[in-house]
Amino acid sequence: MSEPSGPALCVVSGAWRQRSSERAFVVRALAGAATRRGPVTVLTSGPARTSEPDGAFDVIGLGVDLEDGWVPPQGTDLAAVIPDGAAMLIDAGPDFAAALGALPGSHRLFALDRGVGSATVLGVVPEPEDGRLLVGLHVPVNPLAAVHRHNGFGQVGYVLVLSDGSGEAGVPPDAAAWITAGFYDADVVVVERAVASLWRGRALRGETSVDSRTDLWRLISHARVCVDTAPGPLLARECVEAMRFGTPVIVPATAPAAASHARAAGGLTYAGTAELLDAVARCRDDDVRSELSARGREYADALYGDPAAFCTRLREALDS
Amino acid sequence: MVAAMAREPVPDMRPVSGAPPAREVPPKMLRRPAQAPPPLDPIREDEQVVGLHEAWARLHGVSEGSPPAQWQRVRGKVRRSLPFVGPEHDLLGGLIRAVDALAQRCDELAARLQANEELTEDVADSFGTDLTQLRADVSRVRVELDRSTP
Repeated sequence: MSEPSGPALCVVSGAWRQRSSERAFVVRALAGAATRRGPVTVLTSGPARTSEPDGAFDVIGLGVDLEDGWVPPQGTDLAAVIPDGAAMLIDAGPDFAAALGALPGSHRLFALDRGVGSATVLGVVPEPEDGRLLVGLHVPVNPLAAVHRHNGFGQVGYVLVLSDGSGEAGVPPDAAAWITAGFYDADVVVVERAVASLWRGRALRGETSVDSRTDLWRLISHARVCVDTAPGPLLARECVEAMRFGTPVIVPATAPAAASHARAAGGLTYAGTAELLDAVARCRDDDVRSELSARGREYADALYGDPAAFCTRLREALDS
Repeated sequence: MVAAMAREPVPDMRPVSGAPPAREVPPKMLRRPAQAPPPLDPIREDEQVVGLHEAWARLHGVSEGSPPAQWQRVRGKVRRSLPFVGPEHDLLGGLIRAVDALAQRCDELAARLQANEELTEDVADSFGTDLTQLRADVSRVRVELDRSTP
């Protein structure tokens, strides 16, 4: 198998080392897909000019502490580490982007967010905005998770609430409290801080640990509906995973990425308690749930379930 | 009670000024499930109570395989004859009657408890659900009013 010999891409990422963050997941997926097009150089925080292996990449330090922001220190020789003419995917603040944009030579700039200089925005979520290049992503799930339910619970068909982490010991997050109070006979499973708690009729019925991503997928895939109270702003990864398993999602109307998924795939959004309860009530109807499930799965599999299609979309975007 | 009310503000109160409304206080959770557990088994059918009667019957020559009608006859006969068979038998017969009476009362209390538990569950279900929906609707109306008020 020959190495791809296309144009080089330089990924400048502030989130690269924050492995548990959604942004790191997105940037790493984009960088990985870009290796099918041509050589990829990754620049991130760390001692200047040092190179460190990280999976398929050699990560080069920029000599800046990313915890303090993304402003390159005076005297940083960016041109020395960035190949001439390479396209750049910038996951950094506008100041750093400006420094990159001022480099000599011809560099095409791409970014994940708006406002990063003159960079073209690569969209991982379909949004009704002009000037974005929708590339999607590959969000893998293990289909076997749908075969075997989570060991800790015998229930299936529950309302799954992915918490924003605001709950306290013995107290569910607000959304779960409203749902278990509004639907007395419904099983409500709350996932918070790697623990899944089962609530029914306003009372805690049991807890179990969520030890792995597969555990989470098991919980997601056997839920009637997934309420994500704090979806990630860039991708809303758990929403995508839920849709890939055919589990309808209910998300805050103010969550940018998740609301976009909902708009595109027939998911439900809520802007207040009453709308949240209405949305859960709708999903308790088997016909409605079935329709939402089919639409969500079709949408998510098309945009996030096909790695080859994702690589092609990314290549076309970078070469456009 | 008053002290607690004084210490704790009412976060659901609508602000006088144009400040954004406070976070909606979610419904309180129950420390124990309100769901009615399965009914208790009748204690009169308990193995030990039944065994007591069987032992008593055996003392008076009735085997375990005797037909029920015979059991009933023997039990009645024994009870009627207790005052005439000596103080121990009298005491024992009285004890068995007391056990019977207590078992019957326990079963009646268990039935009443079951009824109360079912009522509690129904109240928690219907009132809890209705109140939650009502609060959510009030919240929605409040938001719509705020939007429509210049």
